[in-house]
Amino acid sequence: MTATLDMIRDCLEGTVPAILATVDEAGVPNVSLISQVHYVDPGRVALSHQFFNKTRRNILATRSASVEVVDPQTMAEYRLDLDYETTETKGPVFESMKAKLAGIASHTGMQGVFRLIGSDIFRVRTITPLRVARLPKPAAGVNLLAATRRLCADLSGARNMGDLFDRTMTALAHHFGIMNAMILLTDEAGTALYTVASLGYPSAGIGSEVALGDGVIGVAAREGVAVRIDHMTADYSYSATIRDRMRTGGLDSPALHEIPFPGLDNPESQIALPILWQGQCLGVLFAESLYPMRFWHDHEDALSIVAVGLGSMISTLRTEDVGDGDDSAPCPDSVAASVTLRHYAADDSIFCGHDYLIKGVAGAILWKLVREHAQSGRTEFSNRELRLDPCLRLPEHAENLEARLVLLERRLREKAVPMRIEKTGRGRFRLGLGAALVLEDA
Amino acid sequence: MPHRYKPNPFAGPASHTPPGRVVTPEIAAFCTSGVSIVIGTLGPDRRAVTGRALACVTDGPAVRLLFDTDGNDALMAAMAASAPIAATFSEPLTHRSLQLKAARGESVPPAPGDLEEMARQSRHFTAVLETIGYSHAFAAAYCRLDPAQVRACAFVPTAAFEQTPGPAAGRAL
Repeated sequence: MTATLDMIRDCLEGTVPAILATVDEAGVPNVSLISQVHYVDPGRVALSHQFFNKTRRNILATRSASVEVVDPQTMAEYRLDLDYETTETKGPVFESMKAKLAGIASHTGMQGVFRLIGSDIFRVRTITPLRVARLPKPAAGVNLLAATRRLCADLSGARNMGDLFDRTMTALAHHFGIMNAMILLTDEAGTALYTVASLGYPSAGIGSEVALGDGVIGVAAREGVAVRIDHMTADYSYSATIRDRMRTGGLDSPALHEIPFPGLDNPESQIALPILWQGQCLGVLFAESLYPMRFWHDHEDALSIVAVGLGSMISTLRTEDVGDGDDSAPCPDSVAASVTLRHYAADDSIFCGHDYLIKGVAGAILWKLVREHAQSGRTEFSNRELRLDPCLRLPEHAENLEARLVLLERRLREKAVPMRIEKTGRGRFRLGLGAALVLEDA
Repeated sequence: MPHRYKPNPFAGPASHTPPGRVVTPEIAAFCTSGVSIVIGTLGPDRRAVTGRALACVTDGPAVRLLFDTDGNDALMAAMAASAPIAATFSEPLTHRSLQLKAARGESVPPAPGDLEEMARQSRHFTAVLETIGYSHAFAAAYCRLDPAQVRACAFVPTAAFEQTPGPAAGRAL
């Protein structure tokens, strides 16, 4: 059987350095070890351009190269005969390689030395098997195709967006054995992502934000490309930075308006898949692990399919909520007769007592609900009136309204405040209160 | 597995090396210490060909790279045609690397004592691979070689280059 690039993708994980040989116009060879041969598509690979050296000059002069790669599990070896096409210095392939190279550099003590200047794209002319497998291929713990099928079946029954997110987290754990994951959605301005669901963290971190372009999640969203790091690097870790800001922030610090990112302190593997729908990035599906090399190309494929399914379902449920009632926990009785809600108009942030609760669109929605309740005693509301309320300044189509309500409902539940958002039917919900509210506009 | 980046011990003022004096005692010691050895040569279609060796033996100005004939058909064909050759030697723990080049190489049988030397270097390299995190099974398989399948690339280097990753890579030694 003729080897194809798709058949030997495990060789391109970067686990074992590849051999790169080139020749100059006079036929003088040059050879080096390289850390990254990146799979672009079934017919192309990309090599990292890190230095302007002899290899680089030879590639530009002869537009050809030869690469020898090793399967890290079986030790099968192949030679790829390559034709140089172009160099990319931005975009999905470049960003994906840059993230991965940063992980490799961190892992091998080469931070500051390995720096991606460009992604050299090559067409694969031939793949020559050099040595057959010397080790048996380890049995896969999970059949990823079957797991994907079962997960998609689980998602198809989701009644509303919250249910969809819960089903995704449960199915990732059950079918894929993933222990830590999140779903983040892109905000209305398209500048940040906010967490709407998480799996396996001490604190759920619902509402925590990641800036577009920040870490693997932000890069995946900005570039619309899967980003996978097998050996984690500080270059792409933002959780520690956010936590540090939280720890050092004073009482009036803006950091108090931030919900801590719930990620692992010391992940070894991370993968972020953009949730795309009709060319728009709705959010990111993210998973991580304490173990290195947890996610391979096949995991990326499987989870990309899950992300496609999520995009389709989110698109449907944000406009056609088929909820027929709420399954969230009832509103707990408050230990206090009343609680004080303080609203800051600058960013619509809301504090319950001294505890930061929520801000932004979700904060504005909550403030509208509690004020309406204070003025008229209303507890029943509809999505439609929120869309039409000029005070909320929702975008024209307010496509994220349902997601913001999910965020608000979960944040209230996570903070165990005596307030609940309870769905009562299609496009309708109830504000449940377990204590009297004292409202203060700061 | 943290590694440390260290300056290349071969680095020094760039100078023209007289023919036959490329393989200094320092270079010989490094190349025969049980390191990664990769080979580049020129194929009949004037495209590059890769290869991998498991040990290096120096003999005065000459070098022999011991390799497995299994999987190195293109390398042997190039050596049969006396093609030019480049070989890079890398120490995985420190990334110290250098490259030797010659205008022609040839395929020869191993000399007496070469197989014993190959076994010694392979044992060392296997241990290094395990130290940096590869499994014993992987390291052993990577360095495993049937002595009956061993050939050698023989050449007299005419140039040596700094190859440790970084801005100095490519400088003549």
